[in-house]
Amino acid sequence: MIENIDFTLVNWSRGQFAMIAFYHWLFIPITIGTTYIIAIAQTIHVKTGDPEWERLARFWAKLFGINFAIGVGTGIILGLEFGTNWANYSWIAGDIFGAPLAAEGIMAFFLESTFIAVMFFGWGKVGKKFHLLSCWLVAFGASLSALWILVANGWMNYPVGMVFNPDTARHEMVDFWAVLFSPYAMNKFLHTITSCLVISAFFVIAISSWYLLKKRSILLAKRSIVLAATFGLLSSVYLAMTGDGSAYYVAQKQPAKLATMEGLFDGEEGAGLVMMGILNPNKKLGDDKKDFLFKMEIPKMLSILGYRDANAFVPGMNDLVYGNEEFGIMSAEEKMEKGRIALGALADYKEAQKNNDPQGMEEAELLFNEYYQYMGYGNLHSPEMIIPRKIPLIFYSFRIMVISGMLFIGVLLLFVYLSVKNRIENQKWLLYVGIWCFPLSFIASMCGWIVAEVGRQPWTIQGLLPTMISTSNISANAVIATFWLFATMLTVLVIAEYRIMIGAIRKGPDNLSTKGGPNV
Amino acid sequence: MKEFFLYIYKKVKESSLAKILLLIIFLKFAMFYGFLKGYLYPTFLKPKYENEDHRSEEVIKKLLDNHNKTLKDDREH
Ligand code: HEM
Repeated sequence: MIENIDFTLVNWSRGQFAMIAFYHWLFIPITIGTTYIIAIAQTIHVKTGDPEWERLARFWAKLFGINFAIGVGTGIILGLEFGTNWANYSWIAGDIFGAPLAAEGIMAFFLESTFIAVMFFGWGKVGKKFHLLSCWLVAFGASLSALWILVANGWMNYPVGMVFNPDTARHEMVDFWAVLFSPYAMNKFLHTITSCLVISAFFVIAISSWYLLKKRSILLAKRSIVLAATFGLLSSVYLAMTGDGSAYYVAQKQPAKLATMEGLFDGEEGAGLVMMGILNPNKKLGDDKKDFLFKMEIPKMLSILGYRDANAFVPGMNDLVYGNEEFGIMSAEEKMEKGRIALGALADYKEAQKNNDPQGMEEAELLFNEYYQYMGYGNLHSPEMIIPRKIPLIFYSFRIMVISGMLFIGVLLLFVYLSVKNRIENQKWLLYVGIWCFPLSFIASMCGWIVAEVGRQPWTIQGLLPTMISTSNISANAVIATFWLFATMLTVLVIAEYRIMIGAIRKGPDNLSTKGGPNV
Repeated sequence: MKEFFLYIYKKVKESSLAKILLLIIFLKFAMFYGFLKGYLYPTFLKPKYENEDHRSEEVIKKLLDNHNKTLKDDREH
């Protein structure tokens, strides 16, 4: 056991961050995605002069505005938490985190707030082209402001472009572009933003479907569906493509996460992708029980997905924990040994520094640098710790996300086809499916976050910093108390969002004029 | 520009939805920046470090304490 780690503090800090991120995420996808639908509708209006498209743009802008107003700032709590609950992590990663987040602040402030004001209040008041430009800038600005935080998150999963300074105990950025353009971070950005586009498409489709079922605002609802379904279909195809990219990068950089996502205990050459399956709840690392009670798989697909080679060896959890000489996989024990050498060298460096011994410092630093990449393993106390503990949660979440992604492509294809044929109004069952796909798309994205973040455990910074030593030196009780405080505050906000949004949807677009004036 | 802002002001005054949303934004920011950032965090939740050097020492101590403990565990087993 590790007596100097307060696991109550670690678990509540994790729980609190997850809870706030969950609430924060409830607002994000619609803020990011709906802006594109508004901008496209407004572009069609400017090109064709048809006032109905402007009315449509203004109605969705109104709902976007409600969501934006209630959601804006919920991320502030997350930012504050880095400093309070995750002080060690913030310190060690500070230099990397600071730059992207500062950039986000400036970007979000200038682009979003300025152009959102023009978008809202400029209808009929500023020039049409300038107004349209503002709509597009709001859309790009919202996506770009998510770039930096996702880059930071990408870096936590795949740390690049930095060196560790033993004097300050901080990672210092040496290559900003390597951090920004890391393929892992870029793919994460694209996958996450595209998921927001799909969720927003379903937001528009769900409300429009409800109008059609209620036989209200027919023209606006039908046009909204054509637009959102086409946009959503293209986005969902790209979402699957970037999802494939995510799986590829996870396989390269986080094999333990991939093995957990697939419930793969023993590695295989030409491994299949489990389409559906039930994990054996009694299966443990290192035993020889069956891993699945039932499974259906696509042969060789996991090897193709992860390594672009149908016969590639995909390491399982046992290979990663206990090593596999045949395929050159180092055991976790060996990595832990190297990690201890790195930390021992860091201790020697500090000792030599205290004794004013430059030669000792130099020798210790050389040794530290040699073993630096295993640094985090030096803090683990058992090899099994390298596998995320919540295997079923990760496994089933991954399936819910991928199966939903495939379903969305089919549903959106149907929506596009039937809308183009002008038969959508009579397909009651599809309109109901459209309504239900909206919450499902949220669930799918939450599952994505579970795969990414629970799957990253036990690390905050992959291989370099375990979560259990990333917390602050504050009391667990303080974290528990603030957990309930934030949960209450954020629940009130979500209830406000729900009530105001439902009110605006019920009121509908009929009172929005096609002349100038804001849409509030 | 001034005209545009006056126009925004007038329209916000006319719309009850805009007023509610602005009130929510205001309350939220007062809560987040005023109460949380200005009072709760610095008073009760701020990790206690004297300065940056102290903070980095503490972080190194935490990294190394845990590592020494794992070494001890290893020897015991
Ligand atoms: C269509 C097939 C899909 C595949 C193959 C796929 C694959 C993945 C993978 C492997 C991850 C983990 C990435 C990591 O750990 O860094 C992930 C994360 C995520 N996925 Fe998916 N996904 C798919 C569909 C979806 C859908 C339909 C949504 C939501 C509408 C979604 C939303 C997310 C989100 C929000 C994340 C977390 C952010 C990130 O790490 O990128 N995904 N996805």
